[in-house]
Amino acid sequence: MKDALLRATGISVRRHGRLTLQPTDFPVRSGETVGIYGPNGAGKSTLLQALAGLLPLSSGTITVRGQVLGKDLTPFAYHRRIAAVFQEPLLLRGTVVHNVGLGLALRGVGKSEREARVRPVLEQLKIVDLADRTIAMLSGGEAQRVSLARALVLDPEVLFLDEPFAALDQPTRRRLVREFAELLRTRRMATVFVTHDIAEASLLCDRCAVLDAGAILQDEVPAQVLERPQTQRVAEIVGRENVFRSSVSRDSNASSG
Amino acid sequence: MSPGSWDYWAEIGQGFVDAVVLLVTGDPETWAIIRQSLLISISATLASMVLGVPLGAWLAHTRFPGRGVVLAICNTGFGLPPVVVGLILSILLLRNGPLGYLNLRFTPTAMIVGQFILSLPIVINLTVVALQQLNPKLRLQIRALGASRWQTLWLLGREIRLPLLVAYMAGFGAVVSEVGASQMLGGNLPGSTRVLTTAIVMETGMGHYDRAMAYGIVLLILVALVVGLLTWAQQNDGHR
Repeated sequence: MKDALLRATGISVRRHGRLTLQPTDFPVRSGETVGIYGPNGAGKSTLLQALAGLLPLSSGTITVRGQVLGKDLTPFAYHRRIAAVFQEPLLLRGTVVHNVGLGLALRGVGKSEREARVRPVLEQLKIVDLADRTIAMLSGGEAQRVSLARALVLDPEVLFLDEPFAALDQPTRRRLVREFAELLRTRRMATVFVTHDIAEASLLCDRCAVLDAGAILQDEVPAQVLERPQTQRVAEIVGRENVFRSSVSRDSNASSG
Repeated sequence: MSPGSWDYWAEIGQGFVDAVVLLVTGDPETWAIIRQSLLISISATLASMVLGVPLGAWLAHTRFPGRGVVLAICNTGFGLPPVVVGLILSILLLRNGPLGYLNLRFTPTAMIVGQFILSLPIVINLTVVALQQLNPKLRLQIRALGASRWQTLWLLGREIRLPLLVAYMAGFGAVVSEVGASQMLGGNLPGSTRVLTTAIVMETGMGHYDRAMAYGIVLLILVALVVGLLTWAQQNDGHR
């Protein structure tokens, strides 16, 4: 097994006296897209935020290319190497260009270089026309494209996505997921992707961890999780969504035909 | 002179005309008072922003025992009676009081301190409210973007710049128009601690309605400017 780019060992998170994340081991290898899938309240976002160094851990360590987070590597330095997109676009006051270039500006990248790097990402996400719009004038789907662009332009070592498509309407969501799957295939960056939609998980992910009550129940390729759930609970969790899956795949056949 | 009589209205009308003349001819005494008023109240409010905004940011993001009490005190500060602030500071600044050695009584500095204390809770409170209305995940997103502590503060400040302007204006509006603390701490000394409000009280007492009205007009114009600026900022906020 190739050594992991990011490795969590025995990490747990306690919130209000309750363990929202049980001691968990979780590797992310370079170029790999890992899904974190589970029902609401399973602790998916907690695991993602813990891996992204955005939450204090109750136990365990996170190692990034052999460096221990909090010892050899400060959270600040770590955050300069990753990027995150959340369910809400969380844009800041200003134009689309300002937002997409924000991470670069924080890293001290000059204006002309910023523009040169922002442009291709705007093209990739099909938002060039929106470049000079203020964020108040964007639709939900457009805003989420801006948020994705803001993360991608940083060329992060690990990209963290916390249900980035969940708040979008169905047609927008389907289009964006498909485009994003293509993007991930070409860029091959390590990605951690939280979703409660098994169709999204199987479309986007190389590996899928099924999370329930703060613990990982199974962590394998999506097909394996879907067809050979190891426990009844996993079957229940993924099974409920199977209905969902068939309707989505019918739709993708229709549009490709 | 009965309220309905011609003489009464003629005198009031004349006072109004004289007031306008005083303002447009650049009467030195009038302008000295306006200048002191602006100088003292703007400095006091600026100082309360310098301390109040970071304090408000800290209160908004830190949980500690007694936090509720501190917030309650800031809320009370909204209704802090200026005369009481004037009284307490006056006692402290008395010649043989604990701060008497500073020799600040009846100086513009004493007035700035008093007005600073009056506007500080307003600024703290409005900062806390503004920050708590932001999406809590925004801080997470900003951190994940690789912002340093200072960059985070800067970006959050940028997000709440309109509420911060409101805070400044609310503080300024409150202190420029208060009279109790200014009178007690400044003493209405011409050319130094005489400001619009204390001058209005004095001139009215002396029967100089033209001057009192001139100062009243200026005070109203100042308040109108404050309100106008706020309205303009709110109207234009969505577009930038």
